[in-house]
Amino acid sequence: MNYYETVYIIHPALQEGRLNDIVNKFHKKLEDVQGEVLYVTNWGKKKLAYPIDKQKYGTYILCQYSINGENIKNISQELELNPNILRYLITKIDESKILEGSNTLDIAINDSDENKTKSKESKESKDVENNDSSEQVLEEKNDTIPEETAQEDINNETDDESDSSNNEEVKEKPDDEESSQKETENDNDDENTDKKD
Amino acid sequence: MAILGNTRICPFKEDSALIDKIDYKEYKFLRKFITEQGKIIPAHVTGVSAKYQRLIAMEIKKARVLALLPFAADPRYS
Repeated sequence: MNYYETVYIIHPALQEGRLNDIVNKFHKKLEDVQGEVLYVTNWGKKKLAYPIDKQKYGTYILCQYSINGENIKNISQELELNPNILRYLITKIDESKILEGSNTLDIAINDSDENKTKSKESKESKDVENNDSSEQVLEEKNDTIPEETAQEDINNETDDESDSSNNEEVKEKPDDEESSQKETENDNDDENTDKKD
Repeated sequence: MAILGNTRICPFKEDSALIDKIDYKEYKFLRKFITEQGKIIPAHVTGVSAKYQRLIAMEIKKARVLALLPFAADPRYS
C-alpha cells in the first residue's frame, strides 16, 4: 500500500448536491479497488489561472488515500472519463504528509457556514505564518549594498574617532525599521489577494 | 536582485521551516518565485540554492497543471 494525493477540478455549473455525487462516486471507485480514503477537503470555487474547456472557475477537491500502486490506473481512468472533472493531478506522498481531519465531505457541505468561518480563521493564521516565514526572503532582498555603504560614509564623516563596532550598531537599526515597514505593506497586500479569492 | 560582490544566503538554508512550503498546494508562497508574466525566476536572481530551486521548479509546474499558477499570464484574461 502506498499513499497518494489527488486534486481535481469539478465543473463550476454543478450544484452542491451533484458535486457530492461526483465525490461519492470517486470514493466508491476507490473502495472498489481496496483503497481507503484518509482525508478530503473542499477548497471551494476558485478562479482558474487560465481557462480550461472555456470555463473560468472550478471547484477544487483535495483527497488523500492509500491504495495499491497497481490500481492507480483505474482511478486515473475514472477521473479522465468523467466529463464534469476539468483537470486532475495524482501525486504520490509520504505517510507524514497526510493531513489530519475528516474523511467525508458531506459534513463539510452541510455546515458550510461554520466551516467558512473556520477556514477563514485558519487562512488568517496561515497568512501570519506565511509572512513570518517570508520575512527573511524580503529582508535579504531589501539589504542592498548601496544603502549600507551610504550609511557607513555618513557615520564615518560624523564619528571619525569612534570605534567601527559603534558604526555597525548604528547601521543595523535603520535597516530593521525599513524591513518592518515593508513587511507591514506586504501583509496588507496578502490580505487583499485573499479577499479577491 | 543580485548585485556583484554581494554574497547571498539561500532563504531555505536560513530557515528550514520554509522547506515544507515548497508544495504546489502552497501556490501563494510559490508566487514569490515567478514573474508577473508567470515565468520561473532564475536562482541567481532570488539567491535560492540549486537544491531547492529544483524542488521549486517542480512544484510550480504541478501548480500550473491545476491552473493554480499561470503558464503565461494573459492580460486579456479576467
